Amino acid sequence: MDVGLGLWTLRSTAADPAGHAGLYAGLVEDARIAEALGFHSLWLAEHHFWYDGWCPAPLVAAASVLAATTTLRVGTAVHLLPLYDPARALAEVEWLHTMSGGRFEHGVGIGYRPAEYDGYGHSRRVRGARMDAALEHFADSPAPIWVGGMAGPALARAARFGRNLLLPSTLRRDQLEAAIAEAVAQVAVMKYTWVGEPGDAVDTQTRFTQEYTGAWFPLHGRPGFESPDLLAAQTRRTIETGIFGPEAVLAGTLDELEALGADLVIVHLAGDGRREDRHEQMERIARAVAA
Amino acid sequence: MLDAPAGEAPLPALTRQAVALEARGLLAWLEATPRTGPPLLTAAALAPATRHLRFLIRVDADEHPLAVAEAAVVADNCTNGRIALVADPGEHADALRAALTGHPFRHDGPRWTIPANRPENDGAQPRIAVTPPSAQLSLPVRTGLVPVDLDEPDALVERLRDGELAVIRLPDTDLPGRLAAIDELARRVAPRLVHPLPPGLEDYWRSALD
Repeated sequence: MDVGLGLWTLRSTAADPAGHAGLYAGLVEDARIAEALGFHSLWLAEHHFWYDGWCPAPLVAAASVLAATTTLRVGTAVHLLPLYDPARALAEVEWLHTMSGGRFEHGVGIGYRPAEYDGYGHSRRVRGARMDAALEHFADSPAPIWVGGMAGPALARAARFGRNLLLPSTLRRDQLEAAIAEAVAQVAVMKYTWVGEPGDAVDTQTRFTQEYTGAWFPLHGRPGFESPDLLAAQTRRTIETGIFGPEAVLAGTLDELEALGADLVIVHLAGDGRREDRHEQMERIARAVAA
Repeated sequence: MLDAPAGEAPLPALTRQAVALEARGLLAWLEATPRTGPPLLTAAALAPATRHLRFLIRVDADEHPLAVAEAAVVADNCTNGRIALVADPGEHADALRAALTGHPFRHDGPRWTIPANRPENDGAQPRIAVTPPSAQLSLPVRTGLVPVDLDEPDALVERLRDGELAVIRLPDTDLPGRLAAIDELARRVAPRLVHPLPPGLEDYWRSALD
């Protein structure tokens, strides 16, 4: 089982304001550290038009990271493929594959923000159809494709196209088992993680989840901050399904996920801020993986 | 104009040329070709090996302006502020400029309606902002720049002098040939493009080079 690191979102948040040029320079530095520590992959994420500057073009950032590394694989969790013209997207993926010696991992998803589709001129109702059409177009893409999601249509889509599955963070064990049972190819599992004293780790994750989910995630159609009970429930679920504690807890969970059938675990660190913390986390995770 | 020789791994060849251009104070023009890839991705890929090289990116007029603008601001952050776009004049350039302010905007034109404001897209706003901000204060969008073929130096100087920016297509040769052409441009053409050299220096320049 491989272990990768994520997600590099390149955000400037209320909790940790940052300059974006510095974040992108930091991304390359982080990638070189991840490579030196022996991680399988580094994963980027995508969103659009948001206050925190969340990276809207992860394939461009991936190009930078791939050029600066030699063995590290670089993936998207996930590229919002249905937004784009499939022919152009395929040309971009083919280029990343060629220039990197085959190190690009193409995670794709339909997203969940209607405003992103609206910006690009699409109805949110056609997300699934556009994804299906794009995957047809990508039938001979040279890069491995990971279909992201956990809902029925996503699992069915991955199976129908014979593609790998990329399962999001915050799934319970029974949900993981059910999804892995339906997989026809490889399975990647994302897990929110913070290594340290359990109290500190939970606090770090909670701070991240409150801002991300509160401002961003539509809980029953309204941002989390407008639904405090739902936000609290989502935060609890994030903590319960994540890995927050000493290295031994992470090592044990990685063993469990391997036994469940995961081919790849993407260790999902909360937030982009506090570079020093991030590098320390990467070292601690590498030790847990080696254990 | 950056291009990769046929039959070679593209990125190392592009990187060697980019480093040579940077050393000589020239700019790099990138457009989509099978060997150079989507130009904003290529510019981002050349970012780690360069520090000062500026990239002129020829934009495809058929690509959605948001996709271009977003890739441009990300590439601009990857390069710490070294991206400029070259677009067709008209609606596409207008939409790009509006998007690249980084402020909320909308564009209603013959080809593009941004954002679409479809009623079923809950939560969609009448205006959107491209984020993150570019590293530069204002990411340039130029129009009207067209590459010319490499010619004999005096003829090139004649054609390009007093123009704004010159874009020269390197010969379609192997890597050493391209690097030699970059050197030739830096030595024989670039110094004379802004205005004629002082009396005597033109002759000295030729004799020093020959």
